[in-house]
Amino acid sequence: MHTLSCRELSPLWLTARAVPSASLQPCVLTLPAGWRLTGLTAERGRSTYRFGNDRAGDSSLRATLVSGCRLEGATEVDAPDSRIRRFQRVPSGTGLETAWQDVFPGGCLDVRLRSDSTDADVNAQIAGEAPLILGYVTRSSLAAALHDRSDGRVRLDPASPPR
Amino acid sequence: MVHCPCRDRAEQCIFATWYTIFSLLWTMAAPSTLSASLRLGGDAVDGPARVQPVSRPPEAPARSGHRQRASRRRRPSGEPPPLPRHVGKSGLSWLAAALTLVALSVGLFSAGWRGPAVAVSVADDAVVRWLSGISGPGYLGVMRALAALSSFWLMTATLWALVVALLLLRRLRHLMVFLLVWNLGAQLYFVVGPAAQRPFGVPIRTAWSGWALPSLPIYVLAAVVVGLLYTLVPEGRWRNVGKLIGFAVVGCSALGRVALGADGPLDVLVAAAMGVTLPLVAFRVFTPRQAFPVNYRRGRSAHLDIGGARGQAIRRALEEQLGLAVSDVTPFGLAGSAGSTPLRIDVEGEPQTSLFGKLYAENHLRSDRWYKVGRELLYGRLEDEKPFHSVRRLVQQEDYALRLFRDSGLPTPRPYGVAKLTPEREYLLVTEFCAGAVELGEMAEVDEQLIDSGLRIVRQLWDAGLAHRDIKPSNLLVRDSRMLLIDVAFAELRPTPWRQAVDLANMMLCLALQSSPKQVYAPARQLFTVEDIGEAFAAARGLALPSQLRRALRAQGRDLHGEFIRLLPAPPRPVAIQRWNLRRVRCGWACWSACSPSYRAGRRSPSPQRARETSECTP
Repeated sequence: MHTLSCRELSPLWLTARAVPSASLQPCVLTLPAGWRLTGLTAERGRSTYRFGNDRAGDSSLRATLVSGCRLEGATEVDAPDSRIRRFQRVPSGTGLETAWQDVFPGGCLDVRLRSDSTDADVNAQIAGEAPLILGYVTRSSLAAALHDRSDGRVRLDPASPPR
Repeated sequence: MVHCPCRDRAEQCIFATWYTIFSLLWTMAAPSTLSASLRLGGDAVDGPARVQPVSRPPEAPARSGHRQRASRRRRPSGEPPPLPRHVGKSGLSWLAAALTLVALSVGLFSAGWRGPAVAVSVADDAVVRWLSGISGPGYLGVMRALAALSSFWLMTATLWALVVALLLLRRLRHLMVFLLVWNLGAQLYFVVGPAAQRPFGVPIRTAWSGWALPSLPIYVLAAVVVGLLYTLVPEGRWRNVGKLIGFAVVGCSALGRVALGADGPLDVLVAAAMGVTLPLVAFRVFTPRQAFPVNYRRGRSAHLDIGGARGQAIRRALEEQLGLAVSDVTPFGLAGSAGSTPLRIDVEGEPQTSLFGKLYAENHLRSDRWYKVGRELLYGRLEDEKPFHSVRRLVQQEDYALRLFRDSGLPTPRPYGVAKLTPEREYLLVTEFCAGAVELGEMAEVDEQLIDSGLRIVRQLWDAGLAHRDIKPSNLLVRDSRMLLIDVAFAELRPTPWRQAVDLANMMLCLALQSSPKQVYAPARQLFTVEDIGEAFAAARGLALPSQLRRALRAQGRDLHGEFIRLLPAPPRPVAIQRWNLRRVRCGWACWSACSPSYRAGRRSPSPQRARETSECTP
């Protein structure tokens, strides 16, 4: 099982092929205690990452990388990374249910966080930990790593833009 | 689509649901019975047989001095049987190729994308880049069209069409094998699929998902093509043509996907090898053409083709195992047989003699099992209806019953033994050929001597503690005003009194069909008491009468049962034939719930409890 760590290149190369326009690729910076990667899907046009929490449920955090996303109704907030702009949506419903979008050149990461727990302390902890999980690596660094690994024989992206 | 909680195991859920539904469909399909009636022509070759009473049993052909005698031979350990199971040379080749490729790719990519895996990817990517770089009018469109041959939607539609076609054609074994392969293939895909990258350095211009090796669309396409060929296309010229077309379709689609940058050559190669091998081997092992031929000729599926390899195997088995030098083997009396393939076997010698053979295979065993499940669901267990679990035991039972009947002085065909064609799969029971005999149902009328002969058979059965359990016109042969009892496959030792009583009633009804109740009742009183006869007609109702006898009674429009009752001093109290037990209740409930609209619509998956209960009803 891949951890999608920012240092594990194989799955990142695959997800990079899913959204060729994205200048950044999400990866797992850290997995706080109780969190685990429950699913990773890479397909044409999108890649999806699912994380589960032992108290909040199996699909507590779901992040989808696409080439662009709608930002209506979202409010820009401070982003933890200077390379991205973060837009927060107003929480709705009972319990913990929130969403934000990280926008960067050529891509958008849509993140949704929800909790099955009704314990306010648990939800507060989940809400605090979730934004720490995902970080970003640049596409150029992935391309460079691929170039190094193959002794210059393989390129991540085509030389000319896709037709 | 059935919603399944086990999302990652959707195939398993689909399979489980289908299995349950198919089991029930199969149960309700009223499969053919096991009774194999022997319709014997009057122009048959004269044989040495004597009719009842058989004081001097006929000589076995192998022991007769007049007939050519072949030496029996024990098959040494390790030597294949006359009709061996095999997957064929091509099957073995595919298996070897698939295993090699899978092992190679797992070995290459299991350590990640480094070392030899990089070298292979570089070579793969070079091919992809070359194909992807070709430009020309319509080139991209053609490649997209080729790739679309393995598109998700087309594959889904084809898969469902195949399932529906197999259901309509009632090729349920083929369907089960295909679904099993489908499920197994899905598991195998996730197990062996290494983390191989999509081709680098080229735009991917068609749909893709996940790791590249093996290519899922090509894997599915190859499996569907083989599934179509081995379940719907008859063997021979059409299947050979189909293989070429299938090869072209898979090759073209693979070319399209490579040219569009979705897969590399190794990805499609491994996928094609896996997709072909798994169903190919499964169909050849579990639905061998000898036992489960794909054809569209009219006729009962119970009847096996006795030409080709099986014909040669029959001759070899008879010669080696029973010492019979066979000159000809031909199907015989197929119209009257539903549970086996009846054969006339001509044995070399002066004069030439004929024997009767009943070829049993796995499909007959399955028919027997489902028939018994159906009987239990409809009526409960009337008596010992435990299904046989191997063809060997099925044949063994009939051979034993024949010998038991003869030892008890009953006029039945002499058994000559059993020949094994394929271990646990195909056996041939050989008996005397009752030349010159006609079925009771084909006689215009019966005389007193024949009536007495028939009634004495039941008396002998009673005295010997036996029950035939399938007394009907086609199982009663007449020769020289004597009756001969055949098809003893259902016979039972120490049966229930109810079953013995039913045998008597069935015999009296059979005899009365060609005469009158009065003509039968009077001699019956010489051999049985009024209480015996009363009990017989109290017990013989509904299912207790063989379907052929019921049809004959309906065809005559006479209430023979009622006429016999009126001949008795007092009408007997009917004996109930419905038997209830927990298993029947559970099976009935499972059937009812499985057939409910919400279940049929597939809105929910069967609960483990329900699946378990339904599976209890399956043989």
